[in-house]
Amino acid sequence: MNRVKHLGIILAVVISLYLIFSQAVYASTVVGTSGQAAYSYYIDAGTGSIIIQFLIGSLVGLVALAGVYRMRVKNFLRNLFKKQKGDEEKE
Amino acid sequence: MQLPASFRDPSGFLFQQDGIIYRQVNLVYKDDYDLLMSSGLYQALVDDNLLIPHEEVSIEPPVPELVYKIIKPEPIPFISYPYEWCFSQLRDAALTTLKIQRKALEFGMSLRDSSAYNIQFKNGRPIFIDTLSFGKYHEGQPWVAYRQFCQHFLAPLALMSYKDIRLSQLLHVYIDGLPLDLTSCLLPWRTHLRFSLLSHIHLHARSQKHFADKPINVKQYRLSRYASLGILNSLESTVKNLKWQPKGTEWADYYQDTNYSPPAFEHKKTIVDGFLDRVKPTTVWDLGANVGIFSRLASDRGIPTVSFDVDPAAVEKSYLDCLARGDTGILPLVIDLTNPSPAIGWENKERMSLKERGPADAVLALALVHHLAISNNVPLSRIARFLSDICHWLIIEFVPKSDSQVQRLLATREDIFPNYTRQAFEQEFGRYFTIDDSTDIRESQRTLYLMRRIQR
Repeated sequence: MNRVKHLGIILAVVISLYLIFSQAVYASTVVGTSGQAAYSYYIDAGTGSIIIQFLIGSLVGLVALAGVYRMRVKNFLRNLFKKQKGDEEKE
Repeated sequence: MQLPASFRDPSGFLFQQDGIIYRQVNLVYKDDYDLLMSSGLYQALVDDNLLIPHEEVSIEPPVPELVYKIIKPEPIPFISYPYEWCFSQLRDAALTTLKIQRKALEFGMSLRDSSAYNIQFKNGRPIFIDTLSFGKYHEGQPWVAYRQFCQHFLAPLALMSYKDIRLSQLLHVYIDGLPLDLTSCLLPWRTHLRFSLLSHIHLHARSQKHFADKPINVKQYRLSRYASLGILNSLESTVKNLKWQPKGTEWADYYQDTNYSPPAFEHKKTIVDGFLDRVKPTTVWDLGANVGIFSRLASDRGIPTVSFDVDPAAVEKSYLDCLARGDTGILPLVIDLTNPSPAIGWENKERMSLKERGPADAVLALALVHHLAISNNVPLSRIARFLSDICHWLIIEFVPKSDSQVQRLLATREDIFPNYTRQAFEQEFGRYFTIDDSTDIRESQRTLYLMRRIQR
């Protein structure tokens, strides 16, 4: 059952990523005009490589961010629980 | 004299003077160089053995109108190239590059390139050699060297891991790393199911193709620090998850598959030990070294030793053994002596041929001649000439036709080698070397020679 579930998740991810990166979506990519950076490249960074990095970065960055917030929420709840327990013991 | 491989980056270049390698730092790189040195990044990387240390020197610059500083990096005893590395060496080089990029970000800098040629092996471990690769990190800036990292490291590692270990040799052909569209074609379809390879290789290749002819100002894309770290984490876990387990290729279990009795093997070691003690070479190349048992005889004496073999499995085992034993004196490399690394790149001068990186003070050619002469039809005279080009001293083993290993080589082919005799061997090698000593190996039909190259 778990295998079927995992396969389903993988397929869903693959299909959605293909949709995300499909030609039609690329073609409609709107490039912002602000925030021009002041750095220069001596090697060809590659337009396609920068854009895929931006897309992957957004995804894995979100995961990293979610991980940080998950830890913060976890720590907050743990501290809250400890505090309540401490208060009960004092009483 | 400016080194022929050092011309792409306007920030500076390498040059050689009186046999010493220096690097000119150009004025255009002044701010980044100062930041590297003053931010603490240089010291942190040097302390972690990740970056080659250097000292600033005051000598006459080769191009005075451009110069900011001249630095003298610590020398690398033997320059090797990614197509000569085994799987774990390339993997360790990739992880070293990522570790450096992570550290650079901590200090407000970023790698401006991630060529595999920026890594060399010093004391058996990977180290970054291009001091001018660091640039100031600007908030929101994507990693400029991401494409290069995927092409130089991820693509060959994925192919070696998922398809065939020999595909590392494609790096010979593609000097700026493997094209991702080619890698995507060659990788098995199941790699689409791994998010890391799907994104960094397959979709990356697709994106490159789509945007190849579209003029877009990529500087307008901004990547948050979280996203940059996320990319690094993702690349690191992808590289770490790529594995290759050597399975018994032809010569990987060679030392378990010889006709040596244990006393004969020990006797051979004793003779080689004795020759090394007599010659006391400053450098050793062990040709056809297999897993490097005889290379260790040299490295245990503190002699920097390069251990060549054609079998990627043997080299992999040798490298992993060196890591496990903490042996820093041996550099194992994959080299096919019947087709040694040529000079490649711009003007055929960017990457040196094997011969250009010699000569070694001493060469070990143990249980090798019969492979070259019989499996590859190289006449003894040509073997002698080649070896005389790459060493001053030669410790060589002659394996006669009556030996069971030679018989095995002849089992599937016609014997067209009437001149493969001990007498002819001594005669042909005598044209290039003087034979200082020869000893028959106990309980075998083989003979070990100590030869000295005739002065030219």
